[in-house]
Amino acid sequence: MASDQQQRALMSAIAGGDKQALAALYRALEKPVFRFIRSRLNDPFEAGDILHDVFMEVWRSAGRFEGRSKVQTWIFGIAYRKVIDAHRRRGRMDVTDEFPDTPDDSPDAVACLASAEEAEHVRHCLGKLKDDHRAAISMAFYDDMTYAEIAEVAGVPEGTVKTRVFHAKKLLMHCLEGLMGRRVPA
Amino acid sequence: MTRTEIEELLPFLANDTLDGPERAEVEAAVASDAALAAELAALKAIRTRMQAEEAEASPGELGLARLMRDIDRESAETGPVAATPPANVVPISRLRIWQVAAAVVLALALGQALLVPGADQTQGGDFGLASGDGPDAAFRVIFAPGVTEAEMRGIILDAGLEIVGGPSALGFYDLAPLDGEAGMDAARTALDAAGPLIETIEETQD
Repeated sequence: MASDQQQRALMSAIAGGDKQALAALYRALEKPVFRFIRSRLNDPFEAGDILHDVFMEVWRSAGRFEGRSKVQTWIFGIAYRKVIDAHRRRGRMDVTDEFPDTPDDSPDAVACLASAEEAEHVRHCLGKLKDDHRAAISMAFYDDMTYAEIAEVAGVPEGTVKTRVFHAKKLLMHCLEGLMGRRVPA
Repeated sequence: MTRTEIEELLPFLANDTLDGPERAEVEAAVASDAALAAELAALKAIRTRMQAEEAEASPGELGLARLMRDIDRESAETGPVAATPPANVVPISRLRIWQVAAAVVLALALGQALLVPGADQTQGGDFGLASGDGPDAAFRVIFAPGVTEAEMRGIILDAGLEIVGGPSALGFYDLAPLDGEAGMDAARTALDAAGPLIETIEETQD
C-alpha cells in the first residue's frame, strides 16, 4: 500500500483533475475501505455501491482535503458517514448488542480462539455488535488505527472511542465464550 | 491511570498503536497483573483472527472501471473538471452503469462465471471471464431510468438470467438464461412480468 506521503501526492493530483491518480489511490485503498464498509453492512452489493460513492466523493472533494489527517483516515471518514446515511435511508434500526453486558475478565477467550471454529465464531460475534461498536473494533483490529484516528473517522471524542472499543471487546469475549459453552463468571 | 483506563487502552496495545507514557504505563500494568496479561493475549488472538480472515472479494478492477465511466459521464455532462477549480466538485448523479456493475458482480457471485483478473489487480489491466466467452445472449434489454440496483437484481434473479454483456452505448444489456435453452420461456415470462421496469426486450436467438 502506498505510504501516506504518496497518498497525499495522489490527492493533490486528483484535486487537479488527474484520473490516473484517482485510479492509483483507488487501487491502494479500495480493499481496506470495502472491508470496513462491508463489516458494517450485510449486503455486499450495497457495500460496493457505497465504495463507489466514497471514491466519487474523493474525486469531487479532493481539493477540500486539508492534510490534517492521513488520507486513509479522511477517506474512512467519508465511508463511515455514508454507511450511516445508508442505514438512515432504510430506516434500519441498529441491532443492539444482543448479549448481556456482563463484565468478563476470564482468560477463557484465549482458549475459545484456539478452536477450529474460531473464525466463524469471531465473525458471528462481530455481527452481533451494534454498528458503532463494530465499527470501532473493526478499525482498531482490521486496520490497526490509533484511537485518535478512529475518533476522527467517527467524529466523536477520543474517550468515546475508548469506551466503544472497551465495550465491544467485552461483548466479543462474552459472546465467544458463550458460543463455546463456557460458563461466564458473574 | 485506573484499572478501567488501563483496560480501555489494552486493545491499542494489542494493535501496537499505543506509544509514549501511555504505552509504558499499560505495559507495566500488564506485567504485574495476570488477568490483564490474559486479556491482552485474548485481544491479540482476536485481532490476529480478524486480520487472517480472507477478505471478501472487493469490486476491484470492475469497480474501478465503473468509477472511471461515471467520472467520464459526469465530465461529459458538466465539462472538464479543470473548468471547475479548485476541487472536483460536480453535481451528483447516480447513473445506471452502477447498477449494471453490481448486477455483473451478482452474476459472478452466483458462480455462473468466474471473474479472474487478466493481470495483477494491483497493477490494473483487463479482466475476463474464466469460462471463456460465456454463453450467447438470449435477450437484450434496456432497463427503465430510475430502476434501482435491487430491482434490477430481482428481475435478473427471478428470470433465471445472468448478464453476459453490455451495457452498450444505448444501454442494452445482454442476458443469458442460467439453465440454457430450457430456461428461455420462463425467462421471457419473467422479463415481461417486470412491466415498466424494462423499456425494451429483444430476443436475440431464433
